[in-house]
Amino acid sequence: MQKSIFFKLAGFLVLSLILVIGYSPQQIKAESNILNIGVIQPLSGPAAFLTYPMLRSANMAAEDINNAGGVKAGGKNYTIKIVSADDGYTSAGGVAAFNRLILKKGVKFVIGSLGSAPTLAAQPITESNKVIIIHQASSLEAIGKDKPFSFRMFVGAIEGASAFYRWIHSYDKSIKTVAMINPDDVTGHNTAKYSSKFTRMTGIKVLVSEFYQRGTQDFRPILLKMMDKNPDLIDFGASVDAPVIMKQLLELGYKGRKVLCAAAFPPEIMLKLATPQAMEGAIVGYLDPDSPKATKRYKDIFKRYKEKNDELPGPMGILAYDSLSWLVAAIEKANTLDTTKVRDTMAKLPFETSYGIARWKGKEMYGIDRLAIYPSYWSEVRDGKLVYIGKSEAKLIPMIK
Amino acid sequence: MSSTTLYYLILNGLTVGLIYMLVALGLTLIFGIMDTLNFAHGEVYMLGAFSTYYFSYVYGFNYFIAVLFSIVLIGLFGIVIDRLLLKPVKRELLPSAIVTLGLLMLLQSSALICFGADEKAIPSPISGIVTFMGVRISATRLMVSLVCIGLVVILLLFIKFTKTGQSMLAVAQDREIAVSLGINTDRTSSLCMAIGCALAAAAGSLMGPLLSVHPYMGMSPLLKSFIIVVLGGLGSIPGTVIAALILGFVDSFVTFFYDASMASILGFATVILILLVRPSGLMGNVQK
Repeated sequence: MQKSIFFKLAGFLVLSLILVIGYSPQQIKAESNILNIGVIQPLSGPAAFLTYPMLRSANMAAEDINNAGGVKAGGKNYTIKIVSADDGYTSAGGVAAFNRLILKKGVKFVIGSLGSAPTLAAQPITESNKVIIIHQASSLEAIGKDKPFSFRMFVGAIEGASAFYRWIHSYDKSIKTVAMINPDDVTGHNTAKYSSKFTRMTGIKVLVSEFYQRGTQDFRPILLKMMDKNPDLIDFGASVDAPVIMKQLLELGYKGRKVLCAAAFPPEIMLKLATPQAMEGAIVGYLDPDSPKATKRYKDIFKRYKEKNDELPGPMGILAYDSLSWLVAAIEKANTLDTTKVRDTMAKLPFETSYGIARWKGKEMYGIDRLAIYPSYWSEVRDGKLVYIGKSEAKLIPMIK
Repeated sequence: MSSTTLYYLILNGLTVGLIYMLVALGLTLIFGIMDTLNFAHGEVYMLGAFSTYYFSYVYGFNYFIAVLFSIVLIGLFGIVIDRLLLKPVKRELLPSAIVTLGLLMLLQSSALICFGADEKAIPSPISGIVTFMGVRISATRLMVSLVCIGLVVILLLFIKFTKTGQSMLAVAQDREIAVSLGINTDRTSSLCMAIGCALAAAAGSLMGPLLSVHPYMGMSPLLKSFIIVVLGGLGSIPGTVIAALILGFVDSFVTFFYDASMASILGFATVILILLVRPSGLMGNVQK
C-alpha cells in the first residue's frame, strides 16, 4: 500500500516537472500574445452541413489576419487562435460549450451560434461575463436592449422577406398573390407573421400560409392545397427543405414564380439536389460568385475557400469570414481588448463586407442596433444558372406583438 | 375539391404508404422473430441510401445495379449486426433496445464523419412525368412505387411458400416449438435481420432520387415505422401492410384538409384509439 502511494507521488512529481519545464517563460510570453476567438456552432446534428463551412471560413479569416500581422490593440500584436465547440443545437449543449470556452479558455469573443436554443440559453453567461457574441440565431429574442453584447450577423428569412417584398414589384409587377410555406417551429411562425406584414405593405395578398414539421418528406398534400389557391408566387420562407419542395412542385406541375429569400446553403448545391428543371425560374437571395455584380472580396473568399476545402463556402461561410473580420476591425479601432469598449466601437462601425457596406441596425424592431443589415442580392435560375436580377435592403418594422 | 385533386390525394396516400410499408416491414419482421426493437432501423435506411449514392453517382454503376448492390451489402451488414451485437442479448427486449439505440448513435455519428454533413443527390434513373386521369406523377416516383409493390409481394410469397419463410413464421409464433422441430433459430434470426435491413436499404435507395441523402435522413422514417408497427400489431406482417396504407392516407388527406401538424396528431391519435380497443394492434399477436 505504502509502495503504491510512493509510486503515485513520484509519478505526480515527475509529471509536474515535465509540465513546468515544458511550459517555459517563452511559451507563457507567446501565449499572452494569442487572442482566442471562439466559434460555437451545432457541429453535429442536422445543421452541421451549414456550420462546418462557418468553422472553416473563420479559420481562413484568422489565417489571413495573422499573415497580415495579427490583431493590433493596445500597442501589441495578437495572433488569433480559433477555438471551437459543438453546442449540439441544444440549450444544454449551448450552455456547456459557452461555459467551456469562456471559463476555461478565457474567450471574450465568439462567432455563433446559429441555433436559437443554444444562443438564448447561453446569453445570460455571455452577457454577465461581457463576452461579445456575433451569432446567427433567428429568434427574435436573441437581440435586445438587455443583451448589449449580442450582435446578429445573418440576413435571415424575416429580413430577407422585407428586402424581397420591397423590391419584387420593381422586377415583376404581375405578382399580386402569394402562398407561403414554413417549418412548424418558432422561426417558421415568426417568418410567416412578418412576411405577411411585408406583403400587405406592398399590396400583395397572402392566399394561404402553410407549415410543415421538420423531417417531412412528402410535401405534396401541402403543395396541392397551396396550388389549389392559384398563387402568383410561392414563398419558401425559412424552409431549409426547399430543394425537395421544388422537386415536388415540378412533379405537380406548378408553373408560377417561387422565391427563397434567405438561402442558408449554396444554391449551386440546391441545383444538384432539386435538379435544374425543378429550380427553373426560382428567385433566390444569393449571388453567384461569377456574377459581374459580385464584389472583389466575395469572389476572393469564395475562390480561396473552394481551393482550400474542395467545397463551396455558402452564405454561412461567407458570413463567418465577414463576422470575424468586422470584429477584428472593431478591436483595432477601439485599440483594446476591453469588450465594453470594443462593443461600443463596433456598434457604430460600418464595415465593407462581401456583400457591400453593412451597418448595425435594428433599433426600430429590437430597441438596439445589433442586427447587421447589408444588401440582399436576387438571382433567378435560368437554364440551370443563377442570373443576377436585382439588389435591395431590408427595412425593419416595430416588433409585432 | 375537384376529382383530379381527389385522385392526387389517393395516389399520394398510396405511394407514401408503400414506402412506409417497406421500412416498417423490416422493423416488424425483426421484432416478430427476434423480439428486438431495432432503433437503428432508420440508420440502416440511411446507409442504404448512401451506398446507392456511392455505387451509382461516385463509382458510376447503373442505378438499378447500385440498388441491388446496396440491398445485398446492407443485408450482409444486418447479419454482422445480429452476430456481433444482438446475439449476446437475444430475446431480451430492453438490453437489445439499448444496444440498437447505441448503434443508432454510432452509425449516425460515423456517417457524419465518413460521408460529411452536406446533403447529396442521387440522380433520377428515369426522367419525365406520367399523367394519368389528370394526375401528374414523376416517372421516378412511379418506378419507386412499383418496385415497392414488387418487393412486398416477393417478401409475402417468400414467407408463405418457402421452407425458410415458414421457419421464420414458426420462430415468430413459438420459438420453443420451432427449436423442438429442429429449426436453427440463430440462423433464422440472422436471416431475418438480413431481410429486415435489406428492406430498409431498399427503401433508402429508392427514396434517394426523390429526396436528398444525408446522415440524419433516417429519423423520420423510423418514427413513422414505429407508429405503423404498433398500429398494425408488433410482429404482424399483414397488420403492417394495412397500417402503412392507413397512415399514408391519413397523412395525405388530413394534411390537405387541415394541416401537417393535424395529420401527425391524428396519426398518433389513431394508434392510441386502436390500442384502446385492440391492445395488440390491428392484427397483432396478443401474447407478444
